[in-house]
Amino acid sequence: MREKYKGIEVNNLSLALNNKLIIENSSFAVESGGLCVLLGANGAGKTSLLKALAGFLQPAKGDIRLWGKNITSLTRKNLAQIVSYVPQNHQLVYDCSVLDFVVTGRTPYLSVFSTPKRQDKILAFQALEILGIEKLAERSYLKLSGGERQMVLLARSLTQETKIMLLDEPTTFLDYSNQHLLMETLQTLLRRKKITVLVTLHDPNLALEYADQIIVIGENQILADLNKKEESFIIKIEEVMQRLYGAEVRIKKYDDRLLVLREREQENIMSRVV
Amino acid sequence: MKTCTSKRANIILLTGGIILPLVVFLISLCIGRYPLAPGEMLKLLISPLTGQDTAASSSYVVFWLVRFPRAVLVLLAGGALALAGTLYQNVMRNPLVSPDILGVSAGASLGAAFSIVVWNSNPQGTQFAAFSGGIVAVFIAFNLAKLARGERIVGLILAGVIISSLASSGVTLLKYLADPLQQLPAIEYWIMGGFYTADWELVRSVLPSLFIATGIILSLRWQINVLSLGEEEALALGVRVPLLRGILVTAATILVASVVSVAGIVSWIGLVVPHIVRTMVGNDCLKSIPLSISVGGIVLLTADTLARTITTSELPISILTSMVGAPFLAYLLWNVGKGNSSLKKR
Repeated sequence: MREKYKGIEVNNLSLALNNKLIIENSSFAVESGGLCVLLGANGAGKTSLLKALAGFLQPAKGDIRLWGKNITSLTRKNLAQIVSYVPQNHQLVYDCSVLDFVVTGRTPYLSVFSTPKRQDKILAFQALEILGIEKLAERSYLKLSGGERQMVLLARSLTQETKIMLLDEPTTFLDYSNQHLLMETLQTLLRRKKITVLVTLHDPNLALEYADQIIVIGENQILADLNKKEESFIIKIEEVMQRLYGAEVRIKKYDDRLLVLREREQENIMSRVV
Repeated sequence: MKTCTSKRANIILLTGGIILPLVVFLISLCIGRYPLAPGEMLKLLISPLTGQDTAASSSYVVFWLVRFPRAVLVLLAGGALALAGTLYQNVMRNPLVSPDILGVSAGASLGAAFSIVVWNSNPQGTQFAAFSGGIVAVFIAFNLAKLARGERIVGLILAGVIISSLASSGVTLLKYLADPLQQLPAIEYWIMGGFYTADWELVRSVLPSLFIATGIILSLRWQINVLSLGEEEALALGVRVPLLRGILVTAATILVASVVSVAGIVSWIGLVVPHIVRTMVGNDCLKSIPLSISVGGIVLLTADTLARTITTSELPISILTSMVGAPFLAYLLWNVGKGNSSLKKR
């Protein structure tokens, strides 16, 4: 029954920020159990799109369906039980311990007047364990590094136990191995729990390695919506990447994996150096 | 280790929250122009139970009709101001915010001054006018803030500044128009504030509103925790931010307006006590919100006991709270450099 719904369905969506249209009449869908990467240049509207999906930004036009339900028909609390949002970076004014911070992920399941119980703390700790950062539990949130903070934010998102996870550049502050740990964790989670993940990234190689689907936005619209399994994926993605990152970009095959490289133009570089 | 820290927090909550206020309360009952020995004080305290007929004695009058209701009123007022302060510092995500940031004190002053000058009203009338003035000022500021699209908190703080300064200029105008022999001193004394008029009638008049507003805030303390993470964070966690903020601002305004309407402007408590509480139990609203009530009560009761005893005539209480509050804030600022102050951001 459930399987017939897409995780995320967006129809004819237009988004405006300060009366300026940033996304116009765009439609796309993400399968449940799929990892979708959103690529686009800085300022293309990736974050705004995520915010619209999380229900912070009211669409100027069009509708958004999450797990088959129109988000305008959901209460704030129901929405928070379906979709979680991991901001790119987050600052606290008042410090607290990492565990106390992660427990806030249980809020959508608490009644307005109640407070988190032992069970909620256990769930929060388990989320830290899944990501291998349970050592941080008693640490002060404000003293974490940017990378640690991103892992903690992801742990809170796991604690929220949502069907859909939206992540805004979750790998920005992570080192190489943690970038892959995070992406692998997401992949394992969504295979196991059939959740839907939409993540914005800047690194096209990470996108190629982990995405089931790649959506590219730019020029106020969706430039490409590609599924990794579709025919001539390599040719199409190369075309899009060239449009996005410049004509020198090439897609190479290495074993059965795809790599994005920039073709060097030896002479040009030499002439610049000399 | 975890149980150890939570045990320590529980000890702090128990002593700071219950034992200490009780001790300060009992000490305050003994001290004054008419000193009572602790034994005599305890005898008077249980006299209604023992049924001993001491009603005629002057110590009975001092104790039950003057000192006891005053101490109760001061405890309530201190608790209310500190609670509102802790609430606002979390809701506004700014550790330098005091509970009259939205103009409640200025509005209440305007209401009081208006009733004194225009209606020549009795103290009850002034109390009512001050309470209404405070509520109306915040209501206007809260709606004015909606003009600022986007950043709601900046809008709220700016709207509060605007309304406060308008109300202050209104107070100045009324002072200028007031009869200099009767009304002008009445306005000045009202604004200076104090608890010298305290009696059971006054306690009864503020008790219901304080009780209800405190109950609302206490029962929403987890939501306040989540709101202090920031507006988007709270939305993402399913909190109905505009509604919650509206309820909390209303409750805090009722608290402060009730206190201001009976005691005038008592400065600094709402700003400084939340910091004291944060150094004791950290930022978790589950602990800091209830504890700020007790600590606010202790601090204000200490200040009030001093105000009525260190000189032969009573000092306005705000002189004392400012004299202690301002240096305390300087101490916090000094600590920011050392990186362990509750003022420290990021």
